[in-house]
Amino acid sequence: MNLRVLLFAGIAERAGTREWPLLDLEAPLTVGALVQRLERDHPFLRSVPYVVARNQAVVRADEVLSDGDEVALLPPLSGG
Amino acid sequence: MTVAPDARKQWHHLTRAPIDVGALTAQVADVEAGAICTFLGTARRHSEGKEVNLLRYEAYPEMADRVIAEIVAAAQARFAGAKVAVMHRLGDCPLGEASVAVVVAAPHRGEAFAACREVIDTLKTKAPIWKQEEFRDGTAWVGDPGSFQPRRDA
Repeated sequence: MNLRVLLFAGIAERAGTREWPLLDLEAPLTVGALVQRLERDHPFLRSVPYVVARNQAVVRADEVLSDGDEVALLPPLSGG
Repeated sequence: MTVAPDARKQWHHLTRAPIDVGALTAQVADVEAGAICTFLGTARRHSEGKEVNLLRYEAYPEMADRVIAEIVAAAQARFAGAKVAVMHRLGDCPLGEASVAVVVAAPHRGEAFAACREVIDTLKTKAPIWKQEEFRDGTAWVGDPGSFQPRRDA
């Protein structure tokens, strides 16, 4: 299973990139399990507040991801 | 002629240019409306005691455009007869210029004011848009403590 993880604002700045492509993940994978894996591979995430969107909608940790999903890590919103 | 990939995307509620309030007002103006209420969020010089040089906005544009469209539709459904236009600026926003505009036309001023307030308040909590403040000594993302980056040449 392949996913794209999109990064924005302070998270993109800390990561030094706007996207992490994730290839050959084992299914089934929940949002929570993905977050655990991302926080293990990128420890800076543990000290940054964010919510997760899946295919452009905010999701809960127990939701199961599908091949080709567009996941996004959204730091605190500050539009307006 | 080659076109930059970003330039081909057409957003309904996002722009990298200064916001044209007249054009937004024309979108909602209606002879059935007795009131048009306009809210502009503008780039302010001071933020928590620090002097700001510039604001810079970034979005998850596909999601932000859709979320704003949903907010507009919800307000139009809730306030009968209201027509709502919203535009948010991306990229650099110089001090004093509008970063966001909400224009509501409605039969009476009560609904126009109420819908305008509801739209801007909801946009601020739901639209995936981020504001970076540029100070003399560096930059920081609003609401993200620890994102301060000192200026390289400071």
